[in-house]
Amino acid sequence: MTLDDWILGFHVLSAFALVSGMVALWTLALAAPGADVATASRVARAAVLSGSVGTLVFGAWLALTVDGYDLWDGWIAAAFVLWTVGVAAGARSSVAFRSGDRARGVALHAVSTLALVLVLADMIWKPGT
Amino acid sequence: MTLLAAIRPESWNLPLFLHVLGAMLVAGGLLASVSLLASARRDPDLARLGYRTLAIVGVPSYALMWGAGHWTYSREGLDESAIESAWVAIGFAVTEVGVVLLVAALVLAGLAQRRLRAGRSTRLLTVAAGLLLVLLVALGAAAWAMAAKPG
Repeated sequence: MTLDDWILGFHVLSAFALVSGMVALWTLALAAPGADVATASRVARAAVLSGSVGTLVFGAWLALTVDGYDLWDGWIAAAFVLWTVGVAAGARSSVAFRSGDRARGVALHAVSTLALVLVLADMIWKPGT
Repeated sequence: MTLLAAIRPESWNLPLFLHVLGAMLVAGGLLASVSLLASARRDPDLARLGYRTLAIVGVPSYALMWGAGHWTYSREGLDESAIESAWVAIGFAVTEVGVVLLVAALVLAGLAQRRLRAGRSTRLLTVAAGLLLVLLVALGAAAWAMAAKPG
């Protein structure tokens, strides 16, 4: 196994952490609006944070080191844009939930989720390659 | 790593997308369930939420992951031949043993939330959360193996 294989493994693991945290946050937001889910929320947010950083760092590493890939390839640039939209919407969603604006929190979390599902589709189909 | 791994027929993409999406949804359902069950020692509502999350998110997602995985495998024309790759063997082993863990945890969590509501022991809750945590770690290892493809 090469170093890039290891990095790809960590990139995918980070994506799992990110999406699983998002799914967990959906569960908590929709199913338990009034329940005391502080511990579960902390775990989910930690997964989202570590996954966000990991996907970006390991993804950029792969784009720079793997033959045939470049940061300015259309599908890689699209992934960076969608990742930014997803993370920004997720961060604003968290702020909205904390301030008690649940409707805005759900809407922003939906935007964040859609952006990340599109990143996954982009990673699978790699349009333009 | 060569670019070969990134090049695959277009017809593999949809089943692969559904397989990965299903696996991510499973991981999310398990993460939510584990944290809810583990923090529900005196709260039957949290235990019930953890159980329902497992039943409503975890189980259907697991079926999607498994079904789409087999679909991908058959699209690759590998379902008629012996398993030769370590990463494929890891994937099959984890998902098939994982079904047992998932069903066991579902039953235990269901029993535990009823017992907790009746004011009885929460030991089953701890066991269910433990099984789900093992499954979550195993799925993480399988996801890493599927991507890095050791062997």
